[in-house]
Amino acid sequence: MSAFASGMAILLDPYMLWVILAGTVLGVTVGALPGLSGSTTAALLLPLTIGMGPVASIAFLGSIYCAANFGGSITAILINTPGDPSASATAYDGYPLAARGEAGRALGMSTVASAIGGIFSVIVLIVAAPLLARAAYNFGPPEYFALALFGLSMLGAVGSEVGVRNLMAGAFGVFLATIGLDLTTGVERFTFGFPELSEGLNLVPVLTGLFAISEMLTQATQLHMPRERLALDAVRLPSRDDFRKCAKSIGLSSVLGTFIGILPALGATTAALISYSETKRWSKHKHEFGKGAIEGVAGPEAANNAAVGGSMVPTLALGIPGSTTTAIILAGLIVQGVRPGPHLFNEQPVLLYAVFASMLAANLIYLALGLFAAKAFARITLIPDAILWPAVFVFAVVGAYGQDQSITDVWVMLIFGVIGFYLRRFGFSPAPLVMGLVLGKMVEETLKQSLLIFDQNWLLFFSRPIVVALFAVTLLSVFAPLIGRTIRHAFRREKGLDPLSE
Amino acid sequence: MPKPWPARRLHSDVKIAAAVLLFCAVVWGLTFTFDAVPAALTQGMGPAAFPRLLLGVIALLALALAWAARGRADEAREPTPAIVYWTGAAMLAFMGVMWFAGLLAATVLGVVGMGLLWGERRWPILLAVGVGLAVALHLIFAKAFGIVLPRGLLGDWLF
Amino acid sequence: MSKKTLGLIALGAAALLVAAAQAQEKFPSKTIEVVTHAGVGGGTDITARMMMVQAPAAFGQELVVVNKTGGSGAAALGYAAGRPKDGHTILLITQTHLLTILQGRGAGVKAEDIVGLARATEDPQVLMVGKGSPYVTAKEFIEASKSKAMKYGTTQIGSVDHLAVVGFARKAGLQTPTVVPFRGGGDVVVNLVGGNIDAALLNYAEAESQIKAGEVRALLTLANERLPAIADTPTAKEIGIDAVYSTTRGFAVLKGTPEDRIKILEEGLVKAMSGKIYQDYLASSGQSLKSVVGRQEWQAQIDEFLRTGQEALASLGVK
Repeated sequence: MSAFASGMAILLDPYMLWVILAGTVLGVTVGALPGLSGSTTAALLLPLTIGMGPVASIAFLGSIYCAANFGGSITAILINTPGDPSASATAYDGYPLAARGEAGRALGMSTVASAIGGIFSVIVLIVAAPLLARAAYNFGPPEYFALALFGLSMLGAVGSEVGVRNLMAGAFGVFLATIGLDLTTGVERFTFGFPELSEGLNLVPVLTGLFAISEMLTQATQLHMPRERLALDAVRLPSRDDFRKCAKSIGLSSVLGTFIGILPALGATTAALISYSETKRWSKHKHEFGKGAIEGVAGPEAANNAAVGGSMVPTLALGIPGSTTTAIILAGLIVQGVRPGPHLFNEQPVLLYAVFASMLAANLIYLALGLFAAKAFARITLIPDAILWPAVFVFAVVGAYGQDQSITDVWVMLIFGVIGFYLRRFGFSPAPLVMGLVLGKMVEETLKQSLLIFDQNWLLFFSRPIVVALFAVTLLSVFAPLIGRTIRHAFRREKGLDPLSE
Repeated sequence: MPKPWPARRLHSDVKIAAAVLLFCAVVWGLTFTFDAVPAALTQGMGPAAFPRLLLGVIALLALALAWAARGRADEAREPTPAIVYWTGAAMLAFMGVMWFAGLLAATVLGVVGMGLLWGERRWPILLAVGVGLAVALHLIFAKAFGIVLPRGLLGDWLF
Repeated sequence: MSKKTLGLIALGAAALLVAAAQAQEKFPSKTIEVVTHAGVGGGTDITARMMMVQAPAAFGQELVVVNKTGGSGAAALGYAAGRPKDGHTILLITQTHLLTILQGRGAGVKAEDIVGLARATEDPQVLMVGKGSPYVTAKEFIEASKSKAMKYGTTQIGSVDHLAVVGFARKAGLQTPTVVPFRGGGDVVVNLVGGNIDAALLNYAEAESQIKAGEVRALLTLANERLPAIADTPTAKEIGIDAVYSTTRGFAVLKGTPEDRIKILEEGLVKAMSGKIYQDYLASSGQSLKSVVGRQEWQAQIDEFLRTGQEALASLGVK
């Protein structure tokens, strides 16, 4: 316990507080800016941290990581442009809220949910990191395949009303994930000679296109309609009622996000998408989703920030990073002469607790900062469309270009902008497409890896207990609503009611 | 009661399904143009198997969509206003300027041009926003983070 | 635009060009771009950034990393080929780039266009098995591999470690191994511990924490000398297999860069990488402290790899 106390004591050191504050403010800023992500910033600043000493340098990188994940939601809500791919699910409901003049409510909820998710996962990290990290070893390709199937089974539920359309968009997303080199044979697929496509479509340009550019084109269709926005509504923060409504989804998503974050092959984006559909599934207000449900903001935001703490688990306890940012944090640790692994928890507990303390502090700082600044940020929605959207377009271009410094990616973004515009016009929702794209690669790759491991014998999937359990959960979640409906209908018929009227 | 099926006009879902089927057919054809798999790696699923499976699923879903459209009235959709196409053209023009003169020049021209296109008449405000944005991008990306922004032909030639 | 403004622009441009030409008398005269095929945060990217910490002092100019991912180095080669060959664009290459060039996918860059400047890292590959594996020594593993096709986890098809797996098996006279590709070294380690694959060729640092915890056993070092960190693990040569494989990174420019500038770049890079920060990075990430060598030795290594690479690719059946 004394290690814990001396680790936490770094928060009393003014220098450390400055480092954490700087990391947090920087993290929120770059997270919100399309084109700069937490991982890019951490990598660019890694050389700067060398002189800071181990605790300060990891505290700095850790604060950036925590804060950037929250920052991504700001632009997702305000201008439908996820600052980070993990905030894409936040845009599904956050942007409709902002568009109808409730930006402050969405931003406030995102801040609080993010902080709760983040703090929850850091506590899990403190209590059980070495223990939980071992779960990573139990997840091989067959288990990830079963998990990806579970995620895809929710395609029918994640988008707007019509089932067939959602499945089509989802299948199209999975199809898009096949672009690039085939992992197990090295054969190029649908790359048309562009080397930039050989590693598959980058998520950022696709998301920016589907959300920001298609929204800009949709806005253009409404230019002739006069619109009014009320400044007072825009800056109003969420009410106590809102929090009561979201408590369940924040709790569920914090747990889900932490768990998904712990698995090295999955990250904050997957955590947010799966939590969004789970939030919707367990919500009493399903019909509001996609049109501005406050729970739809709370769930994914709690999850993607919980995934931050989660992904630190294998990084610190196994030396295996689960995301780009943790890979950089790992490099930062190694450069400082700190070797991650289970022994770290016995040999350098003070350092670890200092890192955890700084992550807790980062979450609290952006909580205060976010609530304070939400009102100011919310005013962005009051800027006239003809000034706001051209600027958003420029940000979108920079965002698509920034990650790989590739003009091809900017074209990809424009193409997906047009695709997104027509999808929406004909009643398809982009949400299942994104889900398919994120999980699609994993479905195919883990299936092929599994078959190599099993010497092409499909039946061996059923020799793995975790796989069988995940298959069972998937089947249940697909058929449970059907069974429920059948029972309800039977019940109504019993009472002599029309079984088809709900 | 749904309105009776208009005799001559196809339901828009049927048109969508037809377009999707055409897409699937073309892409299915593309899967035959993949390079051959190296002999040492031929075990298991080939590179074309999974995309073909998906194209099949999408095609089936498209048929289901068309089938479900039977007897249902089509939604009324307003025609796409011309401004949408103009906005798209402005985006292409932006790419052209960026290709030639770099991102920063394109930013200034883009913000002013698209702003005017979208009916904003206070051009000094637009110009201020455009220039401010360009300066901010340069400072944040190029100066603070050392990320090389597109310089365009002109920039490549000069620097 | 009026003729007059056009004229003015042309005049301004001409003035700038003259200024640029004058400025180029001394070298380097502006920021040097370091082009890598790795995304921000990837291993190669980190290497570049570690070198850069002490480079401005050596060059008197800033350096900046340009990440051009895609096509196993093709995008990076293509970008460098499109820049003026004035020494202000240098490539951080790995064997991956050379393999890509050998396969004719190097965006027009030919094997003889690569001019080495200095090697940055040299990280030997180590044969490893999980703790659940029945094989405790290299001899037992190799004996068993002669009658059973082992499953090796690797990164991408056609990557350096894939090549090494096939080459090692051939040199040791083993059954053709089954290759299970993963997205990265971390995934390979997890699956080694989880027992999903029989073996893997990894860099020591990638599995350091698992080796220390006894979850992964290092059986054989594919280098000329034993690694200090795993001094008990024999080299392949010691048990009679002539197999040396390593992950190598180094700096290069494209042919056409003036000879005097190549010399300045070589000296500057070696100086920057001899600095404390870079050397500390090498030591703490378990890479050889003899990693940094100058142009001559690095070029010889590139040539050797190009010579044997062709044959190795043919043996894989990758064209």
